[in-house]
Amino acid sequence: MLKFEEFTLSTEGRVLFRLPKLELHSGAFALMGRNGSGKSTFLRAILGDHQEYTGRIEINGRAVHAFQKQDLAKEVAVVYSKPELFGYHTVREVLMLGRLPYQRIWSKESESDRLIVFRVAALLEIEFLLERTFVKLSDGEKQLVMIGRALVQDTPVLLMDEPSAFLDIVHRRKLITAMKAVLNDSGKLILFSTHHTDFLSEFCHKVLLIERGEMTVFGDPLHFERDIQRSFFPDL
Amino acid sequence: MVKISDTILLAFILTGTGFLFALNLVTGPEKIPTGVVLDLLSGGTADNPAWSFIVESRLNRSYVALASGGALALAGLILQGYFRNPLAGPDVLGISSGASLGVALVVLGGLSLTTLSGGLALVLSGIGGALLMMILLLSVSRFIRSSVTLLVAGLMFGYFSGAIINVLFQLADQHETRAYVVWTLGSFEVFNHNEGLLYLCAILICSMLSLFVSKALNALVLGNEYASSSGISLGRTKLLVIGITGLLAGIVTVYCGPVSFIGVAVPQLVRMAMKSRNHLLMIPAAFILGGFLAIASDIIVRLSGGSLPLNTVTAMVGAPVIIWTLIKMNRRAEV
Amino acid sequence: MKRFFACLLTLLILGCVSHPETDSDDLSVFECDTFEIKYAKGFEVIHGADFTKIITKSLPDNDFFRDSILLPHTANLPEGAIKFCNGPLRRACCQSLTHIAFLDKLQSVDCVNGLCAMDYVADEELYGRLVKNGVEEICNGEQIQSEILLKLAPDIFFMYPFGDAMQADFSEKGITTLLIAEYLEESQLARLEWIKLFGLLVGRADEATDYFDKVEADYLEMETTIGDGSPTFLMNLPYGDSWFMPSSRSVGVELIEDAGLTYLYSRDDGTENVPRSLEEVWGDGTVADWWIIIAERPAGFSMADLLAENEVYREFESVKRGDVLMCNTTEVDYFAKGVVEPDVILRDLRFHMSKGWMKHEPVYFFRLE
Repeated sequence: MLKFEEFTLSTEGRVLFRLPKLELHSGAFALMGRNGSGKSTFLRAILGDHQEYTGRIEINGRAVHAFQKQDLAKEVAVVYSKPELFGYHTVREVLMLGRLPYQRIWSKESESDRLIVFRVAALLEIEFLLERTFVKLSDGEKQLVMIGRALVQDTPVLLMDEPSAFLDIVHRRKLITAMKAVLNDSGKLILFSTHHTDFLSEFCHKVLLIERGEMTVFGDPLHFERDIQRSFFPDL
Repeated sequence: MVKISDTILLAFILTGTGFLFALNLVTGPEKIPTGVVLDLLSGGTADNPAWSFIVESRLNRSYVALASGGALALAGLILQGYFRNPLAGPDVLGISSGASLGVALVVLGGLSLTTLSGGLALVLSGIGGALLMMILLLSVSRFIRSSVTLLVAGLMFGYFSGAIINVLFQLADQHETRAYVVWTLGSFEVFNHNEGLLYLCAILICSMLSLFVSKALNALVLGNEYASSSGISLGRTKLLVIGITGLLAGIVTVYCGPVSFIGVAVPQLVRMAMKSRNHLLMIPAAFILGGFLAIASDIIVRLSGGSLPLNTVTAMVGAPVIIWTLIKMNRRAEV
Repeated sequence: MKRFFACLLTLLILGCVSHPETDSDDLSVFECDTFEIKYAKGFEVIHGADFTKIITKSLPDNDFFRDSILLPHTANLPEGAIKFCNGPLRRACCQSLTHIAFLDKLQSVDCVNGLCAMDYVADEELYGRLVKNGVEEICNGEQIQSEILLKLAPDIFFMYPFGDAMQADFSEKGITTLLIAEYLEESQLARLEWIKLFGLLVGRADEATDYFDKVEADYLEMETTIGDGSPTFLMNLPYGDSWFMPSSRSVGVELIEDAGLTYLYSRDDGTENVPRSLEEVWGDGTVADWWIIIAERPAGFSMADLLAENEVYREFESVKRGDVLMCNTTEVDYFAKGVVEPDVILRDLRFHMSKGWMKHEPVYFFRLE
């Protein structure tokens, strides 16, 4: 559960947007806005990496800044748009990286870690990729794996920063399918920023739109397309 | 879980290093029978009084080579993991140059090189120089996206240190420059008595610190942002990386002179040969393999009768390794 | 237009820098009846009716070079004269400290106004005199500073061959150069004999010959042949991982052998220093009777300092017997002044070997204590 109170996000002294109050529970939420409106900054603030804001962000009732880094990692996981891996890890090994917050200094894998990895691979239907070398996968496959890694991290909140930015329409569809499977499987809270409006009505519960310094919430999936268009192009 | 073949690999490198260590004791320009060597090591005496010194010198050199090769390889492993660049290393990133500058300031400024017991100013200055370079590099890294550009920045810092050293040269006395020039050739012949063993112990203790950063290095393979989201404190990691590599590269450079190639070549070999991606295993593997290469180089140096300085040998051994791994890496990426 | 050209022409004529005429001194100093060169192979003196010609050249083993200078007896120069020196040397610049040593022996150091690597003169007294005379440094590291050289306008600039390939440049700029290669000679006496060349140039040829004859006689008297029972010696100190042992054919080694010591490394290995492994030399050190060190060390270097450099020296036979002789090049100009005083060096060695029954104050080599 993610809660915002009296939230004003700024960067380098400039106010990005205001959000008086918002409470999100499980489900999928799209974050939209023009380039530079503050989407990525917003996600970073939730991750605890950006401190320039007023108001409160609470995860499951606790303020973000009150968490220890390792504990916060057990609450929020993230997927970025383009993964760059240094090394020839297999997909299994990349997925296993999601268990880092639960491992001590020795990064030792436990049996339960292995089970989680397998379960997530099955959920995303990427078992056939497990022994492949990550760097040799296509962009779409890589993103699926990165989502898998975030799922392996086993957090109630999952953030995604333009996850489909580099994907073609077919892979975007695959991503949506995966997210639907995840939502079905668990009561996760998925907050993802995107520029693409296709497929939104299929599975998104709300759209958070940043425009003209305010974050507006659209709750009606059927009218997402219309509401978004109106917001960006008020004169049309 | 450790893959079976990794354990075998580790055992293999360990025995190989042990073998080379022993080989270094019994081979050399002066032919001493193995039995005599063993006798001398266990405290006996030999007919030729110089022999006990020769064997002691070989033993010290082996300790120093093992420690120095291990330390440099380890520093290279950490740097390559932190900067996510296979060409990073203490020599490439200018850290050894920083240590050289620290040494130059002390030596060319008037103090003379002494052994473990007396060179505190030298050690501190060398380590200080190395740390300074690291800090400079990291502050610049905030503005440089591409890691290749960062390598170039490191090289530039290295050249800059070299330039300052040249200036110091002009101002210094004859025998100071002579001492410095000898030092730049690189050598494992630095200690008497059992100081070599002390050196090894000191390096081992510093090297163990790297275990604290192994988890972060594991996480950093996906980049800073992913690592941070996995619970890694980037600030703490940065401090540990600076501190450990500065310490390791600094100590080795102060005593043995600037030694190149081992720091870059060994981590690459480890990454290619080992299956496990866990730095916890790569750290000891890199250390031992670094020691292996260093002892091998020392054997070659001594057998050449002193005509090949250390850096020449490490270059001959290390450069082909780097080129080979680069080619292999390129081929893999293309498939 | 015509006026323009006239002005231009005038300017051009005026623009030619006129070089000062040198007044002709007593040129007869260059005449000498006999000029014998006994040992040196690197220079020749030829007498003509009107002139003396000095030729310096390479030895068969070296890369080829050849240089010459004419000393006219009258003001009439033979046709096609290339380089000449009018009158005895008044101003000279030297690239090497050995040149200074030669001139100093002939009491002619005062004519030197430019020197290379002046800071390396170890002899305090000589250094003081040079400073007092206002001698200027003409080199920056390895590089000769042409501007300073031109300003000093020496009659001759003594250079060594192979060092700086700018000799051609200098003659274009009007500086007379002469290649001096005494160091290529293969014996101490041959090197010393070059003092005769300098003697000719400063107008003290007779003094030079007298000095040479005296030293030669001294030297030959002390020269000892080595036999099977002669004590052995090794030389110098390690440099990093290697020990550069002078070649058995080098002049320094030959001089020590002339004192009656046998070099441990009498294999034929060219004239360069040969790097040897530390282990090999340590082994040899335990048997060699004498240890002769010519090295650069801080002033006041003692036996304790030597042993501090490496414990293994304690096992050296020479150390145990106290037969370690050292020439500390920061205190004594072995490489420069030593060239003109081989007899003193030899006497030093003979004195130390005599263990007391000879009366002598060592100058170059001291027993390390």
